[in-house]
Amino acid sequence: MTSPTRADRLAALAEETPEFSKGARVLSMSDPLATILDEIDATVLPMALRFETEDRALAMLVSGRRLHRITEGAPDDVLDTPLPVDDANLTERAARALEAFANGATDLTVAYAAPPADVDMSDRVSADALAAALGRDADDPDVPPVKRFLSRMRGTITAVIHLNDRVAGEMTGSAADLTGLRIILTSQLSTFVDTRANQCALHADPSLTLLADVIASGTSAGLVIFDAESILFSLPTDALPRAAETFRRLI
Amino acid sequence: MRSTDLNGLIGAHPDCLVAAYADIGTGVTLLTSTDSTVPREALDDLCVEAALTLGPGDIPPLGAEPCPQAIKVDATAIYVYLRAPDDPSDALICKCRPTIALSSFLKDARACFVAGAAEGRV
Repeated sequence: MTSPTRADRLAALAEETPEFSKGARVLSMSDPLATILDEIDATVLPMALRFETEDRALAMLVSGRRLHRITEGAPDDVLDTPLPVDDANLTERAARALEAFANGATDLTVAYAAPPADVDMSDRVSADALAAALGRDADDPDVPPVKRFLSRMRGTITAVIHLNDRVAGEMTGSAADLTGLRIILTSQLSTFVDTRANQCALHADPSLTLLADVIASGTSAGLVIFDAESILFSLPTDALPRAAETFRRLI
Repeated sequence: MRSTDLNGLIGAHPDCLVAAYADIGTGVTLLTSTDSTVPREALDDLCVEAALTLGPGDIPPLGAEPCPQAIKVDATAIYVYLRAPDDPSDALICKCRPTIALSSFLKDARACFVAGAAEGRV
């Protein structure tokens, strides 16, 4: 008996994961609406997203981490309609369409495609605005804030070290930035945290501290302290305002 | 840097509650906006926090490179610390409401140094 060829093994893998047969990515199903909003928030380049669940589909054009229009799977009063940032009524109708699709969704997948070339995508609303229109946070409120922060900053944070009572846990991201973070962790972090706790009247928990360009020019470090759970992470310096505003919304 | 620079910054950004220029090496506040009613103790606390966060000189408290700018966010406020480009012991220290538009505020805060340098003072 001959050993299976690479093609045989790939075919076997395809049978085990049929969700990928249409080129779609399987999404986490802890909260379908939060997952859809998260996909919008993570999409920077102009993109056509198509979500599918069982026999339903929801398609949309997204750019700059904002929803431009829903192109499939929404009521006529919002379908194929650009979403100006200042039209609260239209934003709510779009948000309700996302909510209706997400309600009861199972086996959610998303496929990505280039958007039509001739579409003006200047009218857009953010995932936060859509979530606010539904009176909810964009993330699952049951998820710990540190995890929600990382979810919101996905694609921006370049490396992260999880700390539990200052003991390093999971480490992910760019090798060069992780090296910088490890040096901070082993040689400076305890002194930094203890000194602030002892000497500074402004010391508070939870908190986020962002230090520009301390890993390298253009690469900054951040420290989230939230009860016993903390993270040390790196990010581009030009993303500091976004990180601060994201954290502020979560606490 | 003059008080009018700090006044202009606060005037353009009402969510900025405190703007002070301080020597973080010695913990001395050198300037505040002219209408500031912030108690001296509160300014001292801000100086201490800025010094601990930026580092008092060229030695960063975290990382390998000197820190030109730091932001701290907690449940009540956003603190911004900008080290003076020409004197690492001096810094612009700001306490803002959480609702501040941070990108435009940072741009205007840095412009205070540029304006000061253009007039031969920082």
